[in-house]
Amino acid sequence: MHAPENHRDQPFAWGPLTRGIVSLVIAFYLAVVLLGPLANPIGSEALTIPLSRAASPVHQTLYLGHGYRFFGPDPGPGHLLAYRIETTAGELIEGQFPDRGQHWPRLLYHRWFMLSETVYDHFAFTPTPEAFQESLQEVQREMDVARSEGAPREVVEQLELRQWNMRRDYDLSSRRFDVLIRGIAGYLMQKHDGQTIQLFCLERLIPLPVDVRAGSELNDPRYLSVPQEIAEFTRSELFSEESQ
Amino acid sequence: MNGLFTMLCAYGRSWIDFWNHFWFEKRAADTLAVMRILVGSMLVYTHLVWTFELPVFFGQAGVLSTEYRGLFQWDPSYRWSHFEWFPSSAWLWGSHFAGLLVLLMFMLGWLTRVTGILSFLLVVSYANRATGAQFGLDQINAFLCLYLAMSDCGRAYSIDAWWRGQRGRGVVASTVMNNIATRLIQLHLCVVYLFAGLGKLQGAYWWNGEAIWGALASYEYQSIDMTWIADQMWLVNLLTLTAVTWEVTYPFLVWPRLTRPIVLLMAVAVHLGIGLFMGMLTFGLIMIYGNLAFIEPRFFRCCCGAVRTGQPLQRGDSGTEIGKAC
Repeated sequence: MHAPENHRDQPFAWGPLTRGIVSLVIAFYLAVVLLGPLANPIGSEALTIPLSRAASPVHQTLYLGHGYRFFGPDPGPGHLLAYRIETTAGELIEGQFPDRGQHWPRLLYHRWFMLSETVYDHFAFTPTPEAFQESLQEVQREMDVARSEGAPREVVEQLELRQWNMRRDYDLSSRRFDVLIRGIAGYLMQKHDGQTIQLFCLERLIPLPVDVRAGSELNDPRYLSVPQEIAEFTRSELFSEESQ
Repeated sequence: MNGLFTMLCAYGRSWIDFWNHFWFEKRAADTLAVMRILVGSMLVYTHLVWTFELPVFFGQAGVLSTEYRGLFQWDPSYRWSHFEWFPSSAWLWGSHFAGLLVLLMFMLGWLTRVTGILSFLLVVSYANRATGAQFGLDQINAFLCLYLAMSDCGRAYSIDAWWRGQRGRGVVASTVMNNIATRLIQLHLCVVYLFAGLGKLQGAYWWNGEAIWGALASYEYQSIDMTWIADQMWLVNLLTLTAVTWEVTYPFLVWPRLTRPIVLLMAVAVHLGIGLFMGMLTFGLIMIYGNLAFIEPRFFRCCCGAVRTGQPLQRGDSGTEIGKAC
């Protein structure tokens, strides 16, 4: 590390008090910057996550707190969002995003691509109500065993806290998915004057080098998964005020 | 005991001395001014592109509900956006074009102190409103804009500097704030690369050398056909291992004079590769622009002088071949 050009022999422009105060601000700020990737996407429950939560107002205000795990841990498959709309005129419209033919310039294409990836993330990481109930019951069973065996109160309290956190996280992630998918469905429905809409997630796998050497194209349909329906709405479900 | 105490005091003093020189010396504005022009052009482009589908992403009836971005934690959300202040189409379009004008003014260095702060607020506001459709570009845009806004980057290569020159008012281009802003950009980049690299070390494909294939063979990302590389898997392995090694070691090797030019040239190569082959030229370029913070102001002053006089840049003109300049 080297000093900026030609100023080493000059006295500092700021006095010791100013330098001291600014040093504290810089140290605090750097800690806040570091807390982002230390707590996101994964962090320690007893240290970096609570500290990051405390720094959350600064993170949000200054748009910091990101994990910066670009293409990590591994480059994965791409995800598309497909839709099928039945219009009020009885016509069937199908489409998907991102769409190279429709979305231009490339940065705009990338925005649609990120949106489809976000939808997939929410869909994939939000358990179904049945799976969620099952995991809640599992904790409940652990709690019952702990009680029957006369485990210390702290153990039971820990399990109760875990159950409470699970409910809270599930509620938040399912609301997040619901709000996002309704926004997308509502926009598409209005754009195409739809009566009903179905939304599907598709996953495009990365072909093996050996397949490509044998002549496969990257957009070969066999690398595209079977569309998985993730939501279905009627017009009245999306625009309740219209139906009233 | 006394000797140990004296030694510790001397050690402490040397740290304080280092800290003071690292942060509180003055720095000329040239590097930051060049960065302002380049980052500013990226900000203008990034936000200009939204114009194509502004109501779709930012409108009340668009794909992204205003409620959505508040659902990432239970605590109160501070993710504000000016687009929601008035739910009208006139406000949407009016504030968008006014915002583009502010970004353009910042890029040109016109009322830089004010337009810098406004540009940062705009970048954050757009990114917040578009939660769900942003990616790394928005994150880098935001922190580079923040540090440029707090610096005196308008004191060189700007309308402000030209105007002050016309009025015969001298410009003090070297300031402590320029140095603090430069150091923050440098350290923030180190954090970005370190965690990007550490994240990759958790993945099997970065260890077995096939990750670059995964990136180049992703149809959604692909912009130039690189599938010929399937015949040269040794090259894929080499590129993968080189990329991850470079990323993890960046925070340590970018500081010494000896290794800095190599690390920075690698940055250009890696980010141009991402930009050209994976369709993310904007992200690739903004990372390259950020890396300019490691080049001394003299280098740019010398380049500008060479352009102005039409003379080629001589080695040693400024004592600043990229490595030596720092």
